Amino acid sequence: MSGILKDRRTALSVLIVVAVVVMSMLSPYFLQVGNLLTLVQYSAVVGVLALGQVMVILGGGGGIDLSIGSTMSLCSVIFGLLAADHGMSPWLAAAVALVAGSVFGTLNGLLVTGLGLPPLIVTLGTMYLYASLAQVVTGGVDVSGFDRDGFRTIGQTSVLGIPFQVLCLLLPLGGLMAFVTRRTSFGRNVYAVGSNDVAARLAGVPVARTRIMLYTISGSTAALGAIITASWLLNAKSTAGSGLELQAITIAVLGGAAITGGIGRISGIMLALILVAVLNNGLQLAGVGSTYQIGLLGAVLIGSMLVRARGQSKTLVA
Amino acid sequence: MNGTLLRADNVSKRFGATQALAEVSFSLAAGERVAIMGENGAGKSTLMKVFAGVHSADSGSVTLDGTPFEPKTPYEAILSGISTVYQEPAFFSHLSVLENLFMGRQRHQLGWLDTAEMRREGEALLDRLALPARLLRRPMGELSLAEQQLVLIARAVAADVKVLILDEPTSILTDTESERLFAVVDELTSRGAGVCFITHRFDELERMADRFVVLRDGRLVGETATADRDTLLAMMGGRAGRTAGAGGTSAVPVADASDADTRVAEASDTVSTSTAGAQDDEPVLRIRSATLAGTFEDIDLDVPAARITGLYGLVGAGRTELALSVLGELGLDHGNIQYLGRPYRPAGARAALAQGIAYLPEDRKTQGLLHHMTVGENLSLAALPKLTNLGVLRRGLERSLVDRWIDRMRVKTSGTGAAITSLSGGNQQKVLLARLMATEPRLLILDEPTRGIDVATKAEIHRDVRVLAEQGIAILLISSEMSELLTLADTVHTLHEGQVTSTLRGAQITEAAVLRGATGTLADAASATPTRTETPS
Amino acid sequence: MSAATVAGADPIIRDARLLSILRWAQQLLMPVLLVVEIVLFTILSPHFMTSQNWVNIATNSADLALIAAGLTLIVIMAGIDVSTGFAVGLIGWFVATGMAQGRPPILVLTVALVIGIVIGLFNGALTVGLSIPSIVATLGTSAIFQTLLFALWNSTDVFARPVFPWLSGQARIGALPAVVFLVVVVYAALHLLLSRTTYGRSVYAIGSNVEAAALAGIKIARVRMIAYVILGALVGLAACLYSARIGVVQASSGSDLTMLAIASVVVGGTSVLGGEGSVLRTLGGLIFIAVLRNGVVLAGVPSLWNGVMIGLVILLAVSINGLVVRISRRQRRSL
Repeated sequence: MSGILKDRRTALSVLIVVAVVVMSMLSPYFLQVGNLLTLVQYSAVVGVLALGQVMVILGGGGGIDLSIGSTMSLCSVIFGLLAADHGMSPWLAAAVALVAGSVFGTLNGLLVTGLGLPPLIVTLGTMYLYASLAQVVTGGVDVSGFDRDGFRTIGQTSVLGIPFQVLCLLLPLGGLMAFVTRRTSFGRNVYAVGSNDVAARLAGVPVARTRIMLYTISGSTAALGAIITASWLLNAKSTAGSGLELQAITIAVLGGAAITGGIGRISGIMLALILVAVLNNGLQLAGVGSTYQIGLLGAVLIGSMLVRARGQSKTLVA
Repeated sequence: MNGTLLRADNVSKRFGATQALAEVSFSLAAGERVAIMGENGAGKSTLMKVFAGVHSADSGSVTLDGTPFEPKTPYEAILSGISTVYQEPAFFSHLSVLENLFMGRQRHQLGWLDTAEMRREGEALLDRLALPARLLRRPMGELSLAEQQLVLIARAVAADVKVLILDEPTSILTDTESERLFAVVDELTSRGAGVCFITHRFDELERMADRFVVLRDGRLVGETATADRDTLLAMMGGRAGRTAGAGGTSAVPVADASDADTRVAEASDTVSTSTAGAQDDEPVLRIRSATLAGTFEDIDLDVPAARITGLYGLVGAGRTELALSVLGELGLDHGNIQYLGRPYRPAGARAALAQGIAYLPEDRKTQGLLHHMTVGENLSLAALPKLTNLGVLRRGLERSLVDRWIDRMRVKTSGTGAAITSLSGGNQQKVLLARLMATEPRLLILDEPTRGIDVATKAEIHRDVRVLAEQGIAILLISSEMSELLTLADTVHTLHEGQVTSTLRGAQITEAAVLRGATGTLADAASATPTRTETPS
Repeated sequence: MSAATVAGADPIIRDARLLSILRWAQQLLMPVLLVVEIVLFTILSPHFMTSQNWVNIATNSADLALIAAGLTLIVIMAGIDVSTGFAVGLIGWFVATGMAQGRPPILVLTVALVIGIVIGLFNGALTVGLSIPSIVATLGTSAIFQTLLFALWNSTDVFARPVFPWLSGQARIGALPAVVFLVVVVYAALHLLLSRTTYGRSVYAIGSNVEAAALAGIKIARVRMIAYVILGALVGLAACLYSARIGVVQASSGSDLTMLAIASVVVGGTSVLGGEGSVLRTLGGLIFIAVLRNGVVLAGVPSLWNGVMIGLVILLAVSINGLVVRISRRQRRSL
């Protein structure tokens, strides 16, 4: 696995360097410390989601979580309603939202593994379900009024000059995921299941349990994304995560995760995220709107697949 | 009958370290029926796949109707008039029988299907094989395996076929179904087509073919025009001298055949007394009247400690299914199993492994290897529970375990971090065996442990297996390779159509005796128990 | 020696019975749900069962219907396309701009079809030619189309008028809007293509078993490419309907169509695993979703509930499918 992967991470690193050079030539502000530090702030939420998404993809079996954005929306309003309307401490409400997210994710996992359904369709169903429930419980109205107990710390403060959500949430989460995937038996099982689920089962790996856990993780990261966004905007939207599922998948695949499972490293995802952040930020400084960044992301995604497609051109993919 | 239809001259084919075909010459005349015989791995299928365009020969030449024939794809072979029905055929399970019959060669005008015409032809085709016309509309996937096989034969016949190749066509057919097939074959040959059978069934050889060609270890070892069972068995077993050569007549060497015959006779005396003379101590695994409807029936089997218990059967005999049922990966309709003297309920491979039952799967590629992972990761997988502390891998422990086993099994690898796919097949298999051994099992079920592995590595694996048995591990060796069982097994059970047909010990274990058991010529072979093909999909 | 005996109460027969029940459920699910839905809305709202409302439903879902029809071909071959929504938005911009500049309608329509076909060829080239998994490839192209639309839009909404009257809800043929006939023609044509031609057989064959299809001499790349072109052309046509229906093209135009099209195909009962399905099933799924979106509003339920119902129906339909597959696999005794 190392050959392709090393290529991917090397390619990403080179792209990052190129992007930084180009951006710093385009804008004198790009290389200033303040800018570099806020550079990743925008990407914290989508980065957290991508970390969850990549776990599901790694587990193979067509694993994908289209509902991750909707789960984020639903967790966002659950948090908002508890913290604002029911007067719960925002920190406690955040904990409840995390639990809720993991439950929504687990439901996906149970449907996928328990009934053996295609993940694409299950999560398409729950994508509608969760997004709509988020709308239903709020009536489609944003919830605010939970700026208490220092809750804005997460989204609006900096530690050592680095945005809190990046230094204290995104990076530790990335580190944790990297540790889990590389240094725990669970992580090893994830790769085994993604690589060959029949072989893994015959070797005693609990395939179903492992896959369910992955969806649980993905649901939890969606909830974390909701909490970060709520603290950042001080506003819990019922459409908070809308559209983010595609970005999360894009970053995961860009980072080297094979859509068929079993291949991909967390470090690759983090590099992909940095690349995306650099591009986003540079384009912003150059006065280009954020939608261009999505297009660029798409182009980079396809470009990165072309590099890979040459090696496996004989496989019949759908 | 006209002249030669299909002809192979000195065809050789090599897969890695395995010489699958060595200078085989073969010819098929128009209107002739030839049975290709030999043990599993003798090269029968490889030869047929050269004709079918699946493999291309490394050297030698093939001619069809006197012109050189080198199909690059199976489709090209079909277009040239060579149709093959494989044992595990590819078809469209979602689509109807009619659509399967005509896929790729529909009757149409400018792409517009002539369904009525196809239905007429389809009905006629099915009728020739005595299949009811109502099947035409049924999805292929809902048919029984026998019906599927017959539909595919009908499909092959429907093409303008010059040569029809049938790989074990009758193993899952009932007698009446087989009879229909033979009638169709007669019809084809009377029109001047040639038919090649690959078969293991001795009871219908006479009806099936005019000529019998025997392969062994990739070489043509003999031909005969009479379906004499003992002669054929002797040739398949290799007691026949190496009389390979083009167009060999019915030259059957006599020298060793008589020797084989006496062994057969001596073996058959004691065969049916099955489980007499049991081990002193309780067997590690004791299976009683295990049944999985339609797959295996009423199996009794003991696997004692420190012994290698062989299980021989042809494809479709139910060997792998039995192993998977013991693990709990396939169901078990009834029967009872004791493990280490205690009742044992199969509950999946994970639970089995936790109790010390380890299974080496039949198909290394699809059931064993984690293709994207390293040698070390592949090796330590099953032992991970022992290598963690609160779920965190103890890397030092893992590394020393991996190093120890790589050393012990003499795995040739550039390092534990090498990709598993960089290893040769034999070394991959060693890693998979080490994966199981690292869990310190009490019972090891090896399913075709050396299939497709070069001779040198095969010998090493055999040595390893013997050492493991000496260390006290109970080993159940499932194999369709005769020499493997002869060299390793202390006891051999033969399985035929889901039933244990004989149990052989020590000196009783001869090739002829084993083959007789496995081909059902000993026990009641007339039983029409439908069996299923083995490879799980 | 008490032994663990596994009891067997003829599981094969039990499974067979269950399987046939589930097959029935699979077949009847959509018709039954549709009838239940229609009866329910008729009771809940006096405005539901009126000809005007049915005309509304039809005109409002015609563009989606065209996309879903083309997508069905792709899904039968076990592929997917998540770029259709923004493709519609992108082409819609050209259509709206062309009409606003007063170009001849026939030219605008041609341009829409050509861009659609080019988009289809592009998606096809990535998935068929370069072997990129269709979900990844179309995810990428979707992002590109979104950005192209955004760039063209450039903060200026383009107000659109119908290319032709028959490409909008305005024109009627008899009591029915012309677009209904367009949709019927497209579905009939695709249905005949799938069920009555060698091409259609090849589509199913590829979805059912790619290797066996290659063995039968089917030109897999060409068949798949043609499907992407058909989808592209239908997306172009849908863009004309869409811009006329909405009346304005913005940066996010078409975005909701992507998932609705997939949902229509799946709810209709076409398997994402390939090999089975039909455009008629898709039509059933589409009508169900269109009626739901309309009826829920008329019944006074906030439209926010739409997604809950669509989601639940997707999960229900796919669960029954999953059970059928699981049980038939158990019957075949495969690992």
